[in-house]
Amino acid sequence: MDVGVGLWQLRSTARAPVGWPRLYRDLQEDARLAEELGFHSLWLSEHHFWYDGWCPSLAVAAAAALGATTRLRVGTGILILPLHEPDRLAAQCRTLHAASGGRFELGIGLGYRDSEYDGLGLRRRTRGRRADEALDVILATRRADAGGPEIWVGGMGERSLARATTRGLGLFLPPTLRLEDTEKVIAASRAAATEAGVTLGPVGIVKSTWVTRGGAADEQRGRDDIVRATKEYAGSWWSLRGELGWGAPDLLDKQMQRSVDTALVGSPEAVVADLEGLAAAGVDLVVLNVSSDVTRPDYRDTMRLIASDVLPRVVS
Amino acid sequence: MKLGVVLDTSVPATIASLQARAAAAEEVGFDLLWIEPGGLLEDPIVLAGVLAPGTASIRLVAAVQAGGHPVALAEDAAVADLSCQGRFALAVGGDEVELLAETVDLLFRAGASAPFRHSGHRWTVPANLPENELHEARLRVTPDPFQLELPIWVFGPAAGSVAATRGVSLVAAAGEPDAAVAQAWRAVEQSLGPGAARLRRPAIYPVPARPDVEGLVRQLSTKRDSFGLDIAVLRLPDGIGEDEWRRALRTIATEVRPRLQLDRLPEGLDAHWRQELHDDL
Repeated sequence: MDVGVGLWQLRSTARAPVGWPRLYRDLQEDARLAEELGFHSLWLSEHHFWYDGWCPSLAVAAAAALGATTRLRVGTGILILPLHEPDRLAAQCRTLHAASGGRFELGIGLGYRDSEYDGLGLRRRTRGRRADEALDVILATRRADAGGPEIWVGGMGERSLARATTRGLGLFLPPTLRLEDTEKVIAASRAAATEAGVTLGPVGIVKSTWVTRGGAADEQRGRDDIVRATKEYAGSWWSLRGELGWGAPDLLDKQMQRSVDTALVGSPEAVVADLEGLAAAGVDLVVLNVSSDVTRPDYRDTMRLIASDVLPRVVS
Repeated sequence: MKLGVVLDTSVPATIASLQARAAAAEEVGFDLLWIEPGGLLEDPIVLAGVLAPGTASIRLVAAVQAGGHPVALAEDAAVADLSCQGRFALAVGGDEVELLAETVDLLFRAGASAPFRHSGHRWTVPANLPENELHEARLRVTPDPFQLELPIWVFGPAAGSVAATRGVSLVAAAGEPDAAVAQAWRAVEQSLGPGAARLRRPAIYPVPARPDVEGLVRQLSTKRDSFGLDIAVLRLPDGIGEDEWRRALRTIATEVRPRLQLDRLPEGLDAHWRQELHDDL
């Protein structure tokens, strides 16, 4: 199994304010560190028009991370496909693939925030069709001699999964998926791909992660961090019972509980056991999402701990 | 006069070789790298991102054609500018005045740090489509670029008119007669008045792999005196090897650059340089 780290969002949040220029410099250093520590890949995530500057341009951010490294793979986990003009995105993918010697990975999803579509002049309800079109353009304009980036399709909806299973692409499963469901989705997707006459691509999953040797108190701190980091945008963006998350606090808390329940939190040994479970379920790549809302030294210490105490026991 | 060089994107190139070429230009004091779409390397802003970690001081100018959504272009440009810590500039080309002008207008609004609305011929931002229930009345594009004002230059057939109305620097194309460029700049001055002085006056100019020093100095000085050329972006032949690239840039840096900085050189200095160089060889 491959282990990547994520998700770089390049945000200056209320809780962890930091200059944007500093975040983008840190990304290059973090990429070098991830490479040095032996991680398979580093993953970025996209949103638009948010107060904290959440990175809207993953192709350019990925370019800088690729430019700072020589072996590390850099992926989008995920890029909101319908928001991009297909021809321009396809050209960006070809550029990244050619320049990096094939180290770029394209994870895609649909997104869900109305205001992101509206800002770019798009109707949200056309997002599925736009995603199909964009995928077809990216695949059709690959260079015969050079191939293109591996494509990982995010989303759990029937049509999202079909995007991967009909084209033989990879899956990029969401962090809140429980182990038993992970196993089921993978088996069903492999069967659907076979039925469509193609082979399913690799299966990746993101997992909120906090690895610590600090015992129960520190584990609780990790869980609190995961909730805090998720709650801010879930409350502001997610539509729960027809209104924003803040207006439905009971449902929001339930969602947060699920985020924590499905996270990998604990000692290196406990996390290794979780990862072995995912490998047995058929997962090829786990992207460990170390809470983005922590300070850089904390983040880097966690990366080092994962590299020394987790990676050697799970990487094939 | 500042000097730039066009990055050769015509041949397949790896990050390492692109960074080596950029670093070679930076090493001998070139001020900027002009990045345009090439064969396999199609997106200049992505290439600026790739070159950001391999360079420290050279400016990265990405040349793109207008047509795509300017908000997406502004986002890419801001991320590129942050990635290289404020060394990025965006050159936008266009054939149609209306399209290029609206693109520049939206780039300005999106690159500022305040929510805005825009209604133009081609784009309404934010669109406020009824189906998008939870939309905002005004759009705030984040993150901000590193620079307080991200340089936006224009080039191509529509550029003169847009430069004159928007107050952006106009890039003269290779092969454009000096008289025509001078006329375009007179129109910009007429429109902007003294404000025209804050614009740069770059031009792209082809040079052979083994440049004739005296001829190049003469030609660039003539352009300076004709239309005010202050940034010469030199285009070496496509496909030359890395060694030839280094050699050409070194020649230009040591022999051409010093002769272009002042209005005139004190008598004897040129002869002294010639002698010194002769001794070195």
